[in-house]
Amino acid sequence: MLHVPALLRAVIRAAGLRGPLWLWLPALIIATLFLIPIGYLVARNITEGSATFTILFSSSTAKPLMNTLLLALSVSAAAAAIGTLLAWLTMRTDLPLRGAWRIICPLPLVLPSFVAAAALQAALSPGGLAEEVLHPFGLQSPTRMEGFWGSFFILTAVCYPYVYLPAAARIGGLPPSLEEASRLLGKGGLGTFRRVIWPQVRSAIQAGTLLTFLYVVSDFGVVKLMGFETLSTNVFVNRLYDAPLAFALGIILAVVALAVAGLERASANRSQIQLAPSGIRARRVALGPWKIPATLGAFLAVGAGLLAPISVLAWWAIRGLTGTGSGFDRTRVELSALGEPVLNTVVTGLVTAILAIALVLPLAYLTSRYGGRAAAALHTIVASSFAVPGLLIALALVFMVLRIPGLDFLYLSLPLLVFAYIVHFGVQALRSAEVGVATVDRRLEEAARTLGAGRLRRFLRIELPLMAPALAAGAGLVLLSTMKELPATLLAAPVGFETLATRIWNANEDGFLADMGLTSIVLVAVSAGLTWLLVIRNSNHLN
Amino acid sequence: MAAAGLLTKNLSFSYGDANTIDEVSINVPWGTVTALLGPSGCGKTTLLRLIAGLERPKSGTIQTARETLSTSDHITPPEKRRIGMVFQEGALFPHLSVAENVAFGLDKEALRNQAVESALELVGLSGMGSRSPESLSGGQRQRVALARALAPKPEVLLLDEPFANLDPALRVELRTEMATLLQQLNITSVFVTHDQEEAFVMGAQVIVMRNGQVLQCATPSELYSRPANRWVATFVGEANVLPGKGGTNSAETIVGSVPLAEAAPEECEVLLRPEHLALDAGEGWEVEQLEFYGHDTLFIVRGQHDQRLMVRTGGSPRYGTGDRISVHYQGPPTVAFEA
Repeated sequence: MLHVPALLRAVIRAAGLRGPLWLWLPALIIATLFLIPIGYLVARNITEGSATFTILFSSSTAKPLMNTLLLALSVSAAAAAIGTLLAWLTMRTDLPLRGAWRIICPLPLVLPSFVAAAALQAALSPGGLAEEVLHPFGLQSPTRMEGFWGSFFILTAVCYPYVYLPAAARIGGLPPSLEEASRLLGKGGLGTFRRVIWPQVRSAIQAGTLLTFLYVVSDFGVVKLMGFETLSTNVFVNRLYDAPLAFALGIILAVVALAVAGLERASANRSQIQLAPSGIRARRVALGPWKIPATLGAFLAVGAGLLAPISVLAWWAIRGLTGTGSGFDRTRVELSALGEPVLNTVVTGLVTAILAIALVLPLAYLTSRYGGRAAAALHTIVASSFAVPGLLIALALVFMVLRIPGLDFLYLSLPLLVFAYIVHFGVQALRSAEVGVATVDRRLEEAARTLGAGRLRRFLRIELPLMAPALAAGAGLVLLSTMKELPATLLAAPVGFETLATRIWNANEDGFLADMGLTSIVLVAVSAGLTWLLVIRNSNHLN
Repeated sequence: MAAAGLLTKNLSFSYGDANTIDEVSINVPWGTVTALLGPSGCGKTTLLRLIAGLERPKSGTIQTARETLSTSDHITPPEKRRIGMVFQEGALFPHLSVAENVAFGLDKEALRNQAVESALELVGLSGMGSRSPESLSGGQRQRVALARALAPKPEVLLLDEPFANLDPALRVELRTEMATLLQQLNITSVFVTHDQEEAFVMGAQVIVMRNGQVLQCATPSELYSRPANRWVATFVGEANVLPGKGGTNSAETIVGSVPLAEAAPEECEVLLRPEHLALDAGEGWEVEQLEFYGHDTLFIVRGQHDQRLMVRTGGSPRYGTGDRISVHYQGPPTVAFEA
């Protein structure tokens, strides 16, 4: 007689898969789900056949592709330089108030890039806030913010924390004894940096720079506002009346993102980094006369990405609420009007976060408890879905459910939107879940077994409580990303379903600046609160 | 021998090279402590995990006085075995209080409070139930681990190097205490250690393992005076092993005639424990080095052909480095191995 579980177990063993069957089945299903959007994107291009081919090599493709690459590379370079410099200043020098800087420097992350762009652009436009403030002094408003330089400025200002955070963590964690040993062995300051420090911080900076690159190639809001034509704006614009073109451009975008992600992975330094035992103080570099320019530089970086946009938004919000405004922001706004979008945003985000954690947990068990190549391959699938822009994931899913008979009820539905979010942000949940699983000492589970606890009781009483901080942090990251995600939401959200991000976008397009200001402030406040609650409070569990 | 409390027959297991268990059969008499002694990688911890059910044996059987736990057709999962285990470093659940840790293996709510308190009292920690494991010292943690393992009244108790990470003074104190407790409780126990002294103090019976096999199973004194082979002789305590001429109930060696418990082959190696050798003023040997320990002195003496011997004598040293001396055997009948 055919015994199915035994047969499957034999297959799993023959395939060299480590770990039990009841983990592999869900993990394989999840990985397949993650492959759907990119799979559809590829399939669509193959079925379009020659049309795709001509589009790929036409001159109309070349310009947005060049623009995307130019912008992504220049922003990555600038963000890497600024992020690394700030990390070194706050962690290894006598910069005044460095404790405060360490908290402030990562903060631009809470501001969605398109919000920063909309705020500064509107403030600098004719008749905008800048003119209003400067006019009494007989000054002209500076030039309009647009095009490549506008996009470059905004994206660099909001992306540098992607480099700053890992670089600061790594620099702060380096054991000072290594530097001291190098100095005693006769290497000077520069030699020590090149031979001892750089090799150890390189991988952290590289990983942060990759995140910046991926962020820029998938960015839609900033480049659209700045009128800078890239692959993502072209995909978005063409999706309705020239779907083959949109899909062809989409696949180029996906290839660029995945190729760079793959290159970074291949060149990453995987050697074990030795971290300092806590409590050991590193030597601080005295900045001397450089103190003032260093402080000004840090102030400029944080000012551009955080203080300036927030002040502008707050200005409009206050005027809107008090109803004394004139010009663009005449419309009065009520805080109560934001109840529904806040609820929509938070509930969708929470559902996404919880589902994402639950779905990736079996995979996290496999990768972090059993290891092996097959589990690593599944991890790569989930991780690559983060490199694919959210815009493309949503686009593929929306078109797919329309094309496949019987699935059209999912068109512009909440489940589809949540699924798109999960695929795009799943890796954030996966990394945290892997950390969570790894924090549970296997002997605790074994001890529970010898005390008579079955599988479910062990999970609920021992593993889940111990993993909770890491899982909460992972859920928090997914929640925050979901709240800020614009293009996927614009594409896949049900008609009339308003989130904070789409409300800000529409208010800006319609010129309701007071509404935009207030909604943005609420979005920033909610995400800052949640970041603190779920991520920062638990961050020691993530290292 | 008394009725078996735990029995394994031809137990085999392999996972990589280091954790192999090869046809191991052991018998732990009911209500006593057996120490599993061996160097790291000898398979003693693996054997313990097989008994607990945390690893699946390749072949062989495991049974307790009451039931068969593991055969080739049926394997009882660990949670159904009624076998308690004390892990290295305790493996206390860090998110639960001391009392909650101890109560983890108990199901009846009504029984709990009393059972928890009496288990804590047993290990000398009464009143500490509300503490968190983090706030305890290493020794206290191991006591809680013991209380937790004992609370569900297991049939067999397994202890995996429970003192390995304690400082030496505490280790000695705790092992004496635990040895007394286990004897009082009359619980069938298996105690894994790589420390010979610990094995002798804790175990009524000691099993020496090497490379996944059982080399010898005996009482501590028998193991010390009649080791099964040269390797056991040198692993258990200090030993001089000298070539000798056997054939009868004594052997001729460079320290003269040595009485044997059993007739040895013509070509043999004779075990001479350092404390069974005595020194006199004389010729043939020279004191090369000496270590004074207070209660006794260890001499390293050198003879012809650079032959070296360890000699342990009571009290303060009567000879100094460079003194010429003679050595002779002054102990009970000893053992000889085939050369």
